[in-house]
Amino acid sequence: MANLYVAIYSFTLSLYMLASLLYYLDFKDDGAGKRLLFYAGLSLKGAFAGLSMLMLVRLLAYRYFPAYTFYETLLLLTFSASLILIVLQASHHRFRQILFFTLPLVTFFLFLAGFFPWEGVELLPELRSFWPFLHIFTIIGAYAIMSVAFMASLMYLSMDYLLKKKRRLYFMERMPSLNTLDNLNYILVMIGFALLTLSFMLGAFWADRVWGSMWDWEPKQTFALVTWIVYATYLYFRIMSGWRGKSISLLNITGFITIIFNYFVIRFIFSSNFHVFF
Amino acid sequence: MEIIALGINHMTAPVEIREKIVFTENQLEGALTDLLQDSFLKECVVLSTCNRTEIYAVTPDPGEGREAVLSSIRKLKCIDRDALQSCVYYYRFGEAVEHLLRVAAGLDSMILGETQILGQVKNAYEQADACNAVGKILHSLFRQALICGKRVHSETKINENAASVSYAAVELAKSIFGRLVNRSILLISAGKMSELTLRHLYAQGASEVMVTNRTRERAEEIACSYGGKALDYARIEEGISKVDIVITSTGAPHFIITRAQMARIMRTRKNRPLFIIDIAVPRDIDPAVNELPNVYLYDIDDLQGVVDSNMKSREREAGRAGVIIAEEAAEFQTWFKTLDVIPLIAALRKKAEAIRKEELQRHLSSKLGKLDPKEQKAVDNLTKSIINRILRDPVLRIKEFAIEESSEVYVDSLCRLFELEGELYAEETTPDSASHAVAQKKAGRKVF
Repeated sequence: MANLYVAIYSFTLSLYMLASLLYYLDFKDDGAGKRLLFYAGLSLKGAFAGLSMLMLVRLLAYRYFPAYTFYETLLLLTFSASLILIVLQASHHRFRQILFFTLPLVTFFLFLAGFFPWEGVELLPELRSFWPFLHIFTIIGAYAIMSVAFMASLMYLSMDYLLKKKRRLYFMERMPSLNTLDNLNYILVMIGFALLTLSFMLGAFWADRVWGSMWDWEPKQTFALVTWIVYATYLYFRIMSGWRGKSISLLNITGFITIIFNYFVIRFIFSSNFHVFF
Repeated sequence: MEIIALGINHMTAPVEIREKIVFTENQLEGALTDLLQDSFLKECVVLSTCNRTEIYAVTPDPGEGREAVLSSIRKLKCIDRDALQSCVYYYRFGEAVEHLLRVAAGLDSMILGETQILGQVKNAYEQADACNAVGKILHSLFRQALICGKRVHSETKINENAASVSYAAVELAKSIFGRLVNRSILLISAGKMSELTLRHLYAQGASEVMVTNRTRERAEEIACSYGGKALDYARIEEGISKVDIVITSTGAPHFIITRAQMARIMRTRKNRPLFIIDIAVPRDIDPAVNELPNVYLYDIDDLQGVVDSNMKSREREAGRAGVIIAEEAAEFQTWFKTLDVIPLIAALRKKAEAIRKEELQRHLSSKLGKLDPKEQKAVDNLTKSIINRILRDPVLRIKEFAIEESSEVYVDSLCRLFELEGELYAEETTPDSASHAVAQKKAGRKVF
């Protein structure tokens, strides 16, 4: 069992690295043609298939949806982010530069998973239902979308910086325009925000049914609320005050930092009643 | 036979000389006829553009050929010998081939990597061909050059970036807005440069045009030609708050838009990005405007800076183009070298065929008795295939040897072994079918 896991995991991780490398080569050498891009897309799809396989094996072995350990949520995060990237890649060829920027981050998520215990856990009976999984899946989906939006913002800021400084670098011709990046960012944050909200509602609904309380001010929850507020501010200013570009990108980056802090740091500082595993 | 190239270009000759040696389209035929009258020039192509005049010729003696071309130019253009001598460059075979390939690829142009020259090379070749000045060697060379130029354009990024200020503006607009379809432009004060920029942006789809000018009539005239509308100069702020791109080139001695004004405008336009191209000197827009978020202000120096950095990346790409040129030049050289042995091969085939026919005739008429047509055909095919099988290997080898250095040795031995001298002599006087077939086959490669 362990061997099988390690084998699939390593295979998948190396495919992700290969895909990242190929997207880099495609970015660096635009003239190299469509073949390189084709292989890059192919290896990303291969990596995605490998990851799906890994999750399926877990599902069969432990008989629960893999979302209850840190390792499992990292797999889920990689899975969701890859799915978004594959959709983006299919929708417009100019988005491939976003793949070049985002794929290393996604690969890093999977790489990080390797440092945490991969074994499954004995689940409490109340966690065995479908609702908590949906709660986790939506929030991880939101995190994945926000990761891509974060990268789009970084790309926006660097393009904006270069345009303001009047530096014309060789790759700017191939980058998505400021306009594209800004719009993409907005759409992603809207979807991400909707998922975030949905996840809160699912969590509250389920907690109320099982424990009889909708909201409990424990650290993970509280910090997630901060994230929610940052993104709500983003949408408010974007829609109501017409904020754009640099200022809105900085707000988006702030939002992503709260996610990373919540996801990676809070769990090691505070102990939590419910959100023990992730 | 050798290929020579003589010419002048923008680097070797000042414009006073270049304009004297230009051949207009009408003069070309006369020039080609005059050149070919000289017994040392067998084939000729004259390439004449505003930056260069070059003559490519095939000659049995490079030295004499060169003199023939020079004296012909002197005669046609009434130019002083020394003046011409000082700025003409002269290339022989390998160098001449490489030079033409570089020219076709735009590497020798004033604006590195420009694509117009390829069309001009094609024209020069077609015109010379129409005057019957092109034989199989220049046919092949120019086709190779056109293929080479096309490869350089498609396989390198030498022509990817803008090489002029107005195109640089289009490039920047695309980086900001993406597609320019339905983007709006405000032209403040019409000038040559600003109108050119407007035209490029308009061609990319930025179709909503507003024009403001000191004189209302001029503004309306320009607006009309782009299907736009004229705007009162007093309502300039309102105009800026509506459009995506502003091009300005007034003669005003002071800033017409200050930072505070622009900050106000940005509020009314809800921070939609604004791209300002300030071509005026002294500048029209306060440079501090660029500090405002979502405003991208480029003055003439900034645009020139973009062009300069583009030219640097073109220079990098020129290195990659050089590899392609070397490949194509090598391909041509290979073909050119096999050209020497083609008469030999033809002579060999001809001799074998003559022997076959003779023997066949002899046997059919006496020894074989009466054969029906089917049997006759079978015997005919049998003998043909024997001949072909025997000759196949030597023919392939001769072509291989031709590319090597000491090819004459093989050619000579073959000549002696098969006693082909007589046949070869006959070959040279009549156009040989074999080499013609090769030229035809090369012509089959798609050029444009």
